[in-house]
This record gives sequence, structure tokens and C-alpha cells, in this order.
Amino acid sequence: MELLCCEVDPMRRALPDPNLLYDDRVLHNLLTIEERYLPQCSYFKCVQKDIQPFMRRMVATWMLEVCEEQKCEEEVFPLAMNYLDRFLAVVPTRKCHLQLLGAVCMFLASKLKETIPLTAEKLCIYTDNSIKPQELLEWELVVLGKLKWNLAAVTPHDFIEHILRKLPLPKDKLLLIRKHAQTFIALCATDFNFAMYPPSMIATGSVGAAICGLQLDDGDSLTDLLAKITNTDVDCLKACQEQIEAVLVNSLRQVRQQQQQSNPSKTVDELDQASTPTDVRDINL
Amino acid sequence: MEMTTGSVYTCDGVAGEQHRGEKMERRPGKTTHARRNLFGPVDHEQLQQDFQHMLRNSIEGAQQKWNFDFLRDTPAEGLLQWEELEGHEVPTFYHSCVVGDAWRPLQHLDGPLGREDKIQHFARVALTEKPKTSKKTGGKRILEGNKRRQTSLTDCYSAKKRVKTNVQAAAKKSTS
Repeated sequence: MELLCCEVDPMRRALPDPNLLYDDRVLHNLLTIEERYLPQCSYFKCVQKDIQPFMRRMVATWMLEVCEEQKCEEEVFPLAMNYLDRFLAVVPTRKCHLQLLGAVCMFLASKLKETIPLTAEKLCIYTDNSIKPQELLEWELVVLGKLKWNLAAVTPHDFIEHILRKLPLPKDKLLLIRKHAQTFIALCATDFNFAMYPPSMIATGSVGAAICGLQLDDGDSLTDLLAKITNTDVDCLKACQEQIEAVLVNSLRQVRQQQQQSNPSKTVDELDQASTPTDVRDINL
Repeated sequence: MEMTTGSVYTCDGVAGEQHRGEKMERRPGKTTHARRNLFGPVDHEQLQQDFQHMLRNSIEGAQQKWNFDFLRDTPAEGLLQWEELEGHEVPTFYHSCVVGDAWRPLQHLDGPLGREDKIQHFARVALTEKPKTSKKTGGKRILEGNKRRQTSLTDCYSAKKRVKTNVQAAAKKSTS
């Protein structure tokens, strides 16, 4: 008889590295290079003919659901969206190829960030087998070429720890703040309005929104402090945070509408599956 | 970094964890909501055409950038001066790697003879800089790494072309 305890997370993770997290040079370098990984233009205006903003939202929502269902690392989804936006900013793409592109981007982001990456076969199943693994692998090369193989893009997640450690926050709330900030980041990635914002601003705005949402803030001093940490303009940051909160409200409204439309006998848990990032409904505004 | 997925997964957390890296069917019912086709049927022929088109463009772009003909595996006219090195002169990780039986060396559309053998034994070509192109002095390693990736790009080209090239190469061989 073997006694197996399977309740532990089987994914082995390195401990947080103080050399990476508690050194301001790292933060400064991130701030210096982050702009390199932004999409080149607002592509719905100047590049794409077939693709509309709502289609990006559709594919983003689907990608988020896949990442959540597959329990991907938090960074995988925003990173995949970064690849998607950068590709769409340079290549006019057909609507019917957009889901394939989304799958390819998840494939790449997962390989870069995860110990056990998503497989091509699995991703194809998630497209309801509308694409074949061979096609995914072929387009992987195309996407890599267009991204110039620059995959290690800076994402808002890279800034979270750097920001959090500089804020006077109650230790027992840190986990929750981090979780909410991550949720906000995912939410921003599904919304094209944030695609051209520097990741540091999204991170700062998300942390701000998380702290305000949990009513842990003490007025303007928080925003000023946040702005200082990432060298963001205070007004820009305020606008960004408000925008993030507005997206959340919108998203929550959609969830409620879906709940009303579908079978009321179903529980909330069954209904709000991932069309909105998880935990969103726990956040108090 | 653990991802919370809400109470949907709390009851089958273990199964969910084991699920990574295994067949989807392991977790019936859980994959249905995310599994969907978003924008209707995919035209696979169109997809293939677009792919070939983009791949060709990308190879042509690379050829211009590095003045190297990646399809024929020979240097082309341009600023950079390429210099051939023998396999043992470069670290092994620059050698072509074989993944399953997928690897087929690139053939030359009308390249010089005996090159095919050379590719197996000679490692790829190293690059030395003309002083003029100092901007690109990333050094040999970077450039070679870049080259190898282009090789894998062109590996996607159909086998047909290669067969043809073999014939052409053979023809060349006999004439030269």
C-alpha cells in the first residue's frame, strides 16, 4: 500500500530570487526596455481590414479561458496577447486565421514561461479541431519570424513585485492584493485600449486598482507613490486606473447579464466560467 | 504564482493538476466550454498558401539582410563576407541537429557539386566582417545562430523541390 498525498502543487518552483526582486537596477532596466515590445501601431486603423476590435476581444476571451482551464502560469496569457498584438500590428490577417494565431501565441508564450508547456495537439482540440497541429507548427515559424524572435517581452507581471515591495501594505493582505492585481492585468490584456500602454503603467494601475478595491488606500498619497515607483505621470496613472476600474465594471455587468440570460437554477460558479477573469466578482469597488 | 481558477476546480484540483501534459479526455466535461471554433470553418488551402507566401517573404528578407542564400546554402553578393569553416572549428551546438527523421539538409538549386556531403561534415559557414559593416559586428556566434534558424525555416520547403535540386546538382556535377 502506498500512501500518496496529491494535494501539493506538483509544479516545482524556484523561490523568489532577492537578487532579481530587490535590486532597483532590475526595475530600471525593465523600464528602459519595455517600450521595445509594444505593438508598432494601433493596427485596427492602419493594418487590418478583415479584423474588428470585437474579434480581438473574442479571441482574447477564448485564450484566457484556455489558459485558466489549463492552469497556465499567470504571465502566459498577457505574454501571448503581446505576441498577438505585435503580429497584428505588422501583418494583415484574415478573420478565419485569427484563432489559429491566438493558439500559436499561447503555444509560444507557454513554451517560454512554463515547465510543462501546452502541446500543439491540445491547443488544436481547443479550437474544436478547426486547425491541425501541423498548421500550428508552420505558423509558429511565421509568427516567430515576424516577432523577430524577440519573445522575452516585458509584461506587467514583471513589475508587480517591484511595486508591491515599495508600498506600505499590511503583510496579511499582500497575497490578496497580488491576486487582484494579476486579475486586473488579465482583464487589461483582453481590452485593446490597453494594448499600446507600457506594461509598467498597466502594472501600476492594476496594483492601484487592487488596493483601492480592497479599501486599503489612504487617498492621493498612494497614487503619488505608485507614480514615483515606475516613473509614470500621475495624471496618466490616475486615468489608467480609472480605465481599469471601468473595464472591471463592464465585465461584471456582462457576467450578470449572462447569468440572467441563462438558466437561473445554475449556480454562480457554473456560470461565470472565465468569460471574466476569476476573482473579479470578489472585488469590491 | 499559482493560478486560482475559482471554485470550479476546487473539487477536482488533483485531477486538474494531473491533467497537464496528458490527453484532454482525462477530464470529461471540463473542456467543453473553452473548446470552440470562433470564426467558422478554416480554409486550409488558403492557410497553406498564406503560409508559403509569408515563409518565402521571410526567407527573402533574411537573404537580403545577411546576403546569404539560405535555400542554396551559399553566400550571395553583398556587404558581408562569408567564410567557410570546418565542422570541428565551431562548437557542436552550431551543427545541424536531427529531430526524429524530420531533418533533411537543404539542397542547392544549382549549387556546386559535392556540397551535399560538405554540409554534413562542414559546419555551416562562419562570417567575418568587412570593416565597413561594423554595425553588424555581433560576432560570429550570433550570426551563425541566426543562420541555423534560417535553415530550419527553409526545412519547411517541400520535398519535391529537394528531389529536383538533387537532379540539378547531379547534372551540374557531370558538366563541371
